[in-house]
Amino acid sequence: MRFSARSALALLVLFLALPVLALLCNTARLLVPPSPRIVRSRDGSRFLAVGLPQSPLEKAQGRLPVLLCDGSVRVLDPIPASMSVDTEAWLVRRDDGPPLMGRLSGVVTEEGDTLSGETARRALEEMPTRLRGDRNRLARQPPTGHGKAQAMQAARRMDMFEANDRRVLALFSDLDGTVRTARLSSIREAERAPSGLLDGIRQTLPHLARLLLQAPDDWGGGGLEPVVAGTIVLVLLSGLVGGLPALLAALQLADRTDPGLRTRWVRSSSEWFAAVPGVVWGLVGAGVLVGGLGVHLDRVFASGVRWGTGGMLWGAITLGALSAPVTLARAMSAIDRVPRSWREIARSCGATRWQVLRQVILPASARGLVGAWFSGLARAAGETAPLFLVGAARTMGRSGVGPAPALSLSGGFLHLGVLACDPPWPALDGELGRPLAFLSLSLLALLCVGLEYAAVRLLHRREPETIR
Amino acid sequence: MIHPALHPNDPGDEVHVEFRGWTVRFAGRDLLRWIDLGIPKGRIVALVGPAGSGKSVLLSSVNRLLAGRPGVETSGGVFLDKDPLWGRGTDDLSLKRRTGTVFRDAAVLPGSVHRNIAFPLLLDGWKPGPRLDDAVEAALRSISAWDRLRDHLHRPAQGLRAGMRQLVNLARAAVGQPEVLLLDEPCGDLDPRETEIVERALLDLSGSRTVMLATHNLAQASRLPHRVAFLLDGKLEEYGPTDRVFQRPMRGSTEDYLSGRFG
Repeated sequence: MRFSARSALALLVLFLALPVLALLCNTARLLVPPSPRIVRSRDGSRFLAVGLPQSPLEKAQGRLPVLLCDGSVRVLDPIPASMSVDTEAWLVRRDDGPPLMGRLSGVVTEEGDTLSGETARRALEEMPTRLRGDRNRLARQPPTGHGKAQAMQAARRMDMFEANDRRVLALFSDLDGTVRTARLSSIREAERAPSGLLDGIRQTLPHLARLLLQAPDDWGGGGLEPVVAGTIVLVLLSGLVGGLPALLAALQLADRTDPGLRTRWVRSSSEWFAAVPGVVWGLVGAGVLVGGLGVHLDRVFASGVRWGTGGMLWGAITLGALSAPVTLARAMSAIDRVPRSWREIARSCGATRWQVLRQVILPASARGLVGAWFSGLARAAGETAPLFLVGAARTMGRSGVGPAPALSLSGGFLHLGVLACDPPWPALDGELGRPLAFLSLSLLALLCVGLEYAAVRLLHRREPETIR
Repeated sequence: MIHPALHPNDPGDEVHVEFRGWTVRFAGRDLLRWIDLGIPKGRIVALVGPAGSGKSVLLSSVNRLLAGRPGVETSGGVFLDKDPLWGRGTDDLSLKRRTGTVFRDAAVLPGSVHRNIAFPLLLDGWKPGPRLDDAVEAALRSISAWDRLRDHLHRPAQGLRAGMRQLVNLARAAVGQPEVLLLDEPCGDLDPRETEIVERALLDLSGSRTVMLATHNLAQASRLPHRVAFLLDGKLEEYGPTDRVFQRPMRGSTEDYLSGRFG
């Protein structure tokens, strides 16, 4: 088997992706409410309670809030040692009464049949949504002006539905034999403790999406959305303010048949500048952009916007300046790979400078230019240190720390790397903070590797073999 | 003062491309030194000489590719039909379009054969259509290569063999109906069979056009052109009708080169 750069990269991505996925799953369990489990004492004699989601504080203190059978909540402190999870038990939240729990013993249908086992389980998972939908449709009043007759007809239909609906029940049995009933249409959520690894993953995956796509609320819900969004927007902005000008500069220098002094100078200096560490750029950004330009803007325009305290725009410009030399150097070598003979042919045909650029150089090097742009993005995504200096925010909307900043050019921004290095939550809960930091870093690594992979694929295309 | 024997154009010849005291310096070295040469209209003139003797520089003085290179200094003049090619106020583009150039390395532009041949016209703003197709066909017919290349028109030109690629380049050089063809060793990378095909195309094409052909191939220089100019170290050593230069060279250096004693 031939071992190409491509398969090596694929392997690398695979090796990185697996632990990241595992970590994501684990962290999701930590962040989102754990599925409620009906716990019973180890001797199996009776139900005790349903474990409720712990807040990080409660988890740190080893306290477990539980829902008792009569619907009241008690905090067990300390958590009793003799507890086990009943995987056949359900927790049901409903509209018309306290939460219910127990083993599902059956579902009674409209026709009066009693379903049991797997069919009952499926009915419990699917029917409530359907019934609630039907009721909502019926409950919608007919528009006014349709007359009394229609209104009465609608009311009659609703009554019939209600009468039918009252017969559709789920039966839950306690360990001591007590059976409780719940109207299926009133059930808002029915959750079952996971019965194994696969079941657990199946239940965790929706939470995973929530972890990445939702903003954090105070406890228990949502997650890293503002951080992921902040990072991506920042990197894209840096590609606009730094990468695009670098590409234009490379094209501007492209059509020289012989590299002149200016081209050679730009090339070598861009390579030196690419070696300047990020924190130096951060200092420059903090001094020139935030402390200089920003403060000056505040003084001149006394508006509500604060430019002198660092923010997304300054961060993007700093990252742009830092990544522009990388883009420039790679774009210039991509353009260099366009054979010189092509340019000479075009020039000998009387092509103007612009025509040579547009008709020959640009089409032949477009792929490489996009690759160069991506490698600039990868460099910008990988830099964290300068962001501390140009306005990265350190709050994320978890209790006591403050709300997450909204995405705006002048405001502070959240960044995966900054949050991983300086997380706002370890004081509250180390157990939660550590996986979140790892998660942020893994996402950041994935982003950088992904961008660099794209850049390398685009820059190093193998020329198609032709037989001559 | 140049010896009249070195400028033996026929009395009836009209000078088409003229070099007057043409000197090109680059990086402190004379690439061409005081070239006085008149290329007669409608004739094929071969430029021969060892590598580095200035053949290509002479050609790129006519198509003005030299003008794009930083650090090149020139003096003297080059005239195309009495229009100065170098100097203030010369219109680079319209002058370039009066010449057609073929290079040695048989490189073609990316894209189809059709695009390659039509390239100069596309630069002039022609739109794809029957008129453009006709021009491409006419260019190919003028080098008698229509039958060879008609089936390849819409295939990538880079997939062709070197000889075919040079035919494409010849057609591209011819499509704009240039007055002067500048050929920089067009058969330098070709095998004898392909050379024969390209030479025949070249003869078909030249007709009444002026052709400047730089070549290393002495056999080619003796069979194709009407005139031969021998360059050595940037100087024009000898210029005259092909038969005379090959059979009775006036300079010792010409004789040495042509008889294979150096070069």
